[in-house]
Amino acid sequence: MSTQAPDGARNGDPILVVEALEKWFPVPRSPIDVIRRNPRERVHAVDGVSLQLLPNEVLGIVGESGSGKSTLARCLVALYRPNQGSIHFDGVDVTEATGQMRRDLHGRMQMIYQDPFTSLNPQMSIGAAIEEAGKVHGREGNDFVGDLLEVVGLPRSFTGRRPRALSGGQRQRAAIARALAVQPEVLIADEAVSALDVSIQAQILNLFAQLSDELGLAMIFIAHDLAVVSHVADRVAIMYLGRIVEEGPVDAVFRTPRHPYTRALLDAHPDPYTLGAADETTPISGDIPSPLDIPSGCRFRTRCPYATDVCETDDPALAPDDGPHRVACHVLPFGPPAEGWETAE
Amino acid sequence: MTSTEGALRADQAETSAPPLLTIKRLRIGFPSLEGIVLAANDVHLTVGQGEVLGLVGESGSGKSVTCRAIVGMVPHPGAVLGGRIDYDGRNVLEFNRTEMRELRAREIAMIFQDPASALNPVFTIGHQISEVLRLNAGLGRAAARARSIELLERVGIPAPDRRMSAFPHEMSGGMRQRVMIAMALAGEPRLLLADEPTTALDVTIQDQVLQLLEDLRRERNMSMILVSHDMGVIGTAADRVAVMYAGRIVEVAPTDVLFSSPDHPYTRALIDAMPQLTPEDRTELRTIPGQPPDLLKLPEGCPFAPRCPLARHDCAEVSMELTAVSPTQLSACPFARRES
Ligand SMILES: Nc1ncnc2c1ncn2[C@@H]1O[C@H](COP(=O)(O)OP(=O)(O)OP(=O)(O)O)[C@@H](O)[C@H]1O
Ligand SMILES: Nc1ncnc2c1ncn2[C@@H]1O[C@H](COP(=O)(O)OP(=O)(O)OP(=O)(O)O)[C@@H](O)[C@H]1O
Ligand code: SF4
Ligand code: SF4
Ligand SMILES: [Mg+2]
Ligand SMILES: [Mg+2]
Repeated sequence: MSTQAPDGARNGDPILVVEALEKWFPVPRSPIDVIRRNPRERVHAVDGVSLQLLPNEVLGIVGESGSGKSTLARCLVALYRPNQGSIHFDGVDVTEATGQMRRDLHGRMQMIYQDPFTSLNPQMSIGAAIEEAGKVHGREGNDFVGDLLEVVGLPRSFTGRRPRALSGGQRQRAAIARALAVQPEVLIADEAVSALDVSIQAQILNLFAQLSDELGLAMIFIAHDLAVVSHVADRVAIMYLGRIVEEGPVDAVFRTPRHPYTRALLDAHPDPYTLGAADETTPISGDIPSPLDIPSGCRFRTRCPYATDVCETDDPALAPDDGPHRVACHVLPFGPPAEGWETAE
Repeated sequence: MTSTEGALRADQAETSAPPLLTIKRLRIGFPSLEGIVLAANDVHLTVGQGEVLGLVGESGSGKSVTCRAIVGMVPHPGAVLGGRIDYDGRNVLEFNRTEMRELRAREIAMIFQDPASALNPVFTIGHQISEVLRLNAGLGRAAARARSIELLERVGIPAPDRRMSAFPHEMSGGMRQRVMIAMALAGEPRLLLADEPTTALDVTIQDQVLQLLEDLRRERNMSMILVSHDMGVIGTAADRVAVMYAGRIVEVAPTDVLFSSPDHPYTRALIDAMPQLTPEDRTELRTIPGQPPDLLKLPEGCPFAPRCPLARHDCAEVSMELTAVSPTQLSACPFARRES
């Protein structure tokens, strides 16, 4: 699909490198705040994220709702300008890109938004939207549009429909088709299959896997459904309050989670066949902290059953050279990762 | 006609609770250049008092428009073409504007799949929830504010008092979804129509929201239609499940029966396609062969025939009536149960 399939030489180098990224938003002040001289507040949406994506690789991102996944994604496609840190796409600094460079970037990196209305112009038929996106590569015409619709499981006859005349899942598939029409090298999919029934979801996930295997499409795949992530991702990063708290090969992280938050997520994963089975999981409790004031030390400590004194004072780091399965936790209640683990300090 | 009546009786028989909502032969159509798209085609559903009915099925099969029809909100240019929707003994399809507004304010609330239908981008979320409380529950300004904060807290929004002044675009997808849940619950509805209420929630928050809904059912005997693609959510929360395909209900069964012995070939295929959390091998996921149906080009008889592994020549003649597989399970396929 991609005209610029990655050459062997580049295969080992990451196509996307994010370093110490921070993005915050000022909280609007009400007149009362001004009168009372309340301090200015900030929502720390992304609070120090570093990651790398290899060509060909699918990186899954899961995490707490509101932990900054969509904000991170929007920074990656230069929709938001980060306050700190850097993003390099194939060596180019995304945060500094302007004009032609930015347009080039959008031809090589595409995003499917969590809300499909953001991806699709409500005034434009989905056929026209797909055709326009395909023009970058001189691909157009009814066959091109119809084939793409079919690939995502929509009838060809939908070409003339406006987004409003589609069901939630059909709209989501139209957004996927539009993004694929650009033939990007990197696809950022933000909850892109959450409105699809499991069969169509499977069809789309197989499609992504095929594009990644055969054409080297790299993906950042944000989803809250752990089973879905476990199928499509090679690696997974777990986010909590603006940070990655655990990262590693998907099998390692899901089979032997090391961070208490990851463990809690996996324990909470509902499975229709094991319901009512012995419930030996300890659901996390305690206050859900807000990105308005992130707790001192470890940001998970207000809900962590394993927290100790050091968790209150020291912010655990996800050190860069700890091998493939990395965790940001002082205590490691489930033991260290199997391979490549050195103490972070 | 007699077979229809028989099927309807069977449908009613299998909810143990007295029905709060009964939908019969509901048809919803969208006019288009190529003809009328029948988004709901002879839909039958019953929801008992205090019951949670799961509604699953093919994307585009008519789940959302069916729910919207209950509150008189079928999107333009669609229209209800036939059938009836009895809520608490009255056909809501005959309601006038005022009666419908009353119904939405006091009886039935809907959580929309698409946030744009529910949240106004120019008002803060605090303002929007408070409005619901002031209009539907008659609360004063201060009381409405206090209650809004409480509701936001219950749906798991951290620091809710400081989030009251946020605009919808300043919240994450999952937070917007929780705001919509809070708004729907603000009017203390007797029937909640929840259309994909947890698509943007991580599993721990999802747990909390499902628990809240379960509590409300226990405390207030609230009934619910829960639309979800997430079989885990359906398994956790629903008492019975109805499965839709191409505008039709193809199977209805108690939740455990549906997962352990699905009857309709579409239901079976859907359950087979469920992804596993720790798959043994990461080969291709199972899909249903063939293309999803085009509602304008449906075959005669069973709409699933082009993709059905059990399809046979007489499938073109099936009536698509739901018939009893067992006292609690109904299916529109007359052949599957004989095969197994
Ligand atoms: N434009 C904005 N202005 C102010 N605050 C924002 C803005 N966008 C996001 N936020 C805040 O940043 C935080 C992270 O939001 P984000 O949408 O990135 O979360 P998320 O991980 O994608 O969550 P979800 O899983 O619910 O979609 C939230 O607290 C949100 O309220
Ligand atoms: N304006 C329209 N013109 C023609 N068809 C329409 C129009 N609006 C909706 N439809 C069709 O009606 C059908 C039912 O849509 P509905 O939103 O109820 O599906 P759904 O079951 O909720 O799907 P999803 O799971 O994807 O949300 C869809 O196939 C859709 O394409
Ligand atoms: S560092 Fe402490 S508080 Fe944080 S996850 Fe580990 S044990 Fe829990
Ligand atoms: S009626 Fe025929 S095509 Fe339809 S589900 Fe049954 S066996 Fe399959
Ligand atoms: Mg998001
Ligand atoms: Mg829908």
